[in-house]
Amino acid sequence: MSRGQLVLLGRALAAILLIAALCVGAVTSVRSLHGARTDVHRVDARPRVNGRLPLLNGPRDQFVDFVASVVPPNASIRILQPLTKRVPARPPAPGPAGVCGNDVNLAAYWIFVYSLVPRPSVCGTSGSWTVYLGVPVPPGPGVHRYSATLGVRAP
Amino acid sequence: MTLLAVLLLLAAGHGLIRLVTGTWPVRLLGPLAAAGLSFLAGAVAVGLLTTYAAVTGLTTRPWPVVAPVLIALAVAGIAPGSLARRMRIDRSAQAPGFGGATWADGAVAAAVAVIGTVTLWGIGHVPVRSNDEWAIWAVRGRALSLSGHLDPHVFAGTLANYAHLDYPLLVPSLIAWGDGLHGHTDDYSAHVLLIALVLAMLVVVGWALNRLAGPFAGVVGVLLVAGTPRLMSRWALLLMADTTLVAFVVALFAVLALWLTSRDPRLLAIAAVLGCGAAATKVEGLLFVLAAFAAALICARGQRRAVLLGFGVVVASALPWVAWTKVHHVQSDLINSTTLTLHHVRVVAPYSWLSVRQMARYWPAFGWLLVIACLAVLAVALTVPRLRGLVAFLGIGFAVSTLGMWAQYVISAGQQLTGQAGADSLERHFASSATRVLMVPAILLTLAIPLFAGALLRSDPAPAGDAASADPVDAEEAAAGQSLHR
Repeated sequence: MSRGQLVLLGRALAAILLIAALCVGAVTSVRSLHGARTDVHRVDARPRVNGRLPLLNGPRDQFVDFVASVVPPNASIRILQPLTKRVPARPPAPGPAGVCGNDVNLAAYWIFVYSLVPRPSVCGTSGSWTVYLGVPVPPGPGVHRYSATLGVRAP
Repeated sequence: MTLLAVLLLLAAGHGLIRLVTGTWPVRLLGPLAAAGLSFLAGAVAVGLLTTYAAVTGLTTRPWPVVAPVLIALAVAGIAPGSLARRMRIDRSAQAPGFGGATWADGAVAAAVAVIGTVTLWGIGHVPVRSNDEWAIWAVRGRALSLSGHLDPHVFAGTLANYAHLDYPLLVPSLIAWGDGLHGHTDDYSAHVLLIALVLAMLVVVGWALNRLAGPFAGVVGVLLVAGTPRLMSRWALLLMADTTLVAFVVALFAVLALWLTSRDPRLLAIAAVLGCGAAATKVEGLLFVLAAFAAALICARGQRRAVLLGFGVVVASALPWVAWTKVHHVQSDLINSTTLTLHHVRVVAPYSWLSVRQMARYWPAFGWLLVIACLAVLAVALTVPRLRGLVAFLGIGFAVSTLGMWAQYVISAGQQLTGQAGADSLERHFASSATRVLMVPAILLTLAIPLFAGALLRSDPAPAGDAASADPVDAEEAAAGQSLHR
């Protein structure tokens, strides 16, 4: 085979590969865009609680708005949650257990933290509002009770 | 207001490119790439300005600091030629560029327009809805826009469980930018801004491929990238940084590849801006920037000082944020004083092969046949002298990116659990993150097909292709005005 024929063969193979890539790209990008449309429709069809998706299940979704109405936007919050079982051999959490996202249901903690921005989540009691998220709310002055296990206490 | 947020970003990016290149962007790049690169550069400007304002104690709300600087950049971008030359904004307006709208650019623009329309349609109905959004990215964006400063409780943790505090602030800054212009939190603006970055990258990829590999390569590259599993169907619809990182890194590789074949220093300046964007998006962004500039450094004999300068600019741009995290004792979850020890390397070494298998399992590609085709076309292109430089550039960039990701996964193993529990934990880590984290090397490999199949198809070698050949010419010779003006 001469060099010229080799070059021609190479170009033919390159053309075939480029056309094949065009077909693959067209199919996969259409499939991808269809996936995007489906995802948007699926999210759009889900019910909302004050514009948010009800991700916390049950009264805790409304409790977010209750906390936001009680705690000033510039105040810090200390979130108390039930302890979860720690995985054996896992090193201890950096903060106190059951508070500020340590050894708790993290998904609920982060949804809560995000929903209450700009109020920062802190671990200390000094000057912060205490949010009872699934733990018994104690009686006392400054307590805003939403339910037996959901409430807020002023600093 | 969303339109204003986009347009102001675009105009500021246009001005930034004019400042760093000394040339009218449309004249240098053509309308397609000028739009795409301007938007990416505008996002870099917002990200860096907000970060610098934050770490110096200024407000992170847009109107007092960020917006006025962006408006100044936008004005610099549209200053008349005579005034711009007097102000030394325009320095080499007569040099040839990479513009010239062709039908191939039109095809790229049409493809991206369709992709953009379909992706953006109805995005206003999508609120924040996933773990990484509310735990990492959106929460910090909202903290910037609502509190107006870098609240140490949120950004330095102080024992509260905030995730990945070392991640830089470009994506949160963009979210805050959209919020700030609206005057309240606005998921729609944030979605539009982040999706537009992906569209800008697609435009840049198509434009660069049209010039590197002939008129058919651009639209093929755009479709292949847009079809990357879960890129547009999942990750682009979330307020997360992965697609933004892909946008900056892939555009960076495209511009650097074009620079290698033309040695036009203005492209290197644009590449440095894109590198700043990648480094300001995620921690591993700096790894990908290192991969790109290391590949360019090896392939660009004679112009290594310029490449090093470009990389130096990227590193310098990231320093204020790194300094802030050090001052506030914020450590990376992965690369820190505990993991960077010989003892830890010995502990995680048994997970090396598992990491390779998991990377293969979750590699975001259309199938292994395509991966084999990519490697095959790379091998064939290696036999063509005029393409060897580009093969080396893409190959090194891909190899360093992939190795870096592998090393990151290996190091992340065994931090909390060892033995089988550690292996299970690592597998869960891969399942939750690999399809998005590995998108950069996967897309780089995929682009080998349009790049080299297109280049092999071309009957006439690109005039500047010699500069990227197996024996790269010296800087002075290469920089002597060669370009791919079309």
